[in-house]
Amino acid sequence: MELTKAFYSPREMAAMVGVHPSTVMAWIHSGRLRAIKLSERTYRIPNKAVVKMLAPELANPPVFIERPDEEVDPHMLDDDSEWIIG
Amino acid sequence: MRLRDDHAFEQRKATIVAVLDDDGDVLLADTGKAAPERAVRFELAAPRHPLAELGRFRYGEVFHRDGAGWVLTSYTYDYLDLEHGGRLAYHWHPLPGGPAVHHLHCRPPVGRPSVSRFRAYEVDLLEAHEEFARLFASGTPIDCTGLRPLRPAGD
Repeated sequence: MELTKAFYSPREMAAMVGVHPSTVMAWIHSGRLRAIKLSERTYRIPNKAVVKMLAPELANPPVFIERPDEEVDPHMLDDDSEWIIG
Repeated sequence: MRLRDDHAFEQRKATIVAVLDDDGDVLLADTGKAAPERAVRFELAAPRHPLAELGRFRYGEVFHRDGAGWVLTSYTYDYLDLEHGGRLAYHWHPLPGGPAVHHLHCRPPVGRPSVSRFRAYEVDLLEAHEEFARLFASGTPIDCTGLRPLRPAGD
């Protein structure tokens, strides 16, 4: 199964998994499945959440870095320039 | 915000990582508990693997040691829309020559904002993330209209 969309609707997720859309909504409401609520009746499930449920071996795990020597700068990122992508 | 001890600090980090990890690829950098000042940075690239990065979320927080706990003293919560261009960011940190102020940075996909900082209210990291995630998931470009410029100190 190739997951090529950034977001999926509950109906699309239900079709992929082979369950009724109400089951996907129950997963969302119980917190088992991450979904972003766009409006009262519209949810979007992120690609990563789908991958973690359907093919967890493909999901990149979080990366943790400890940087005890890093300088603490409260002004970090206040300048817009760092965010201008070339 | 005050976290009562190191355990509470680690628990909060784990909660945030768990939420962000459902939205894309996450990196967490932490300067650790040895020094009295501590910086934590969460970076999220979404959606990623096997797709291209369309949104970048970068959340930085600085804490000061307070007894056994930690007190939040500044934050920078940034969302960069790589698909349309544009940046939206909630910040709380000292401004040049002044105290820490809650403010907002907003750069639309086209052009430059009229001012560099806008008025904002205090937000929690996950609260800011839900707002950014909704914007990202809806495919709506960042819109800076209607924002009010930050008043200069003493105004």
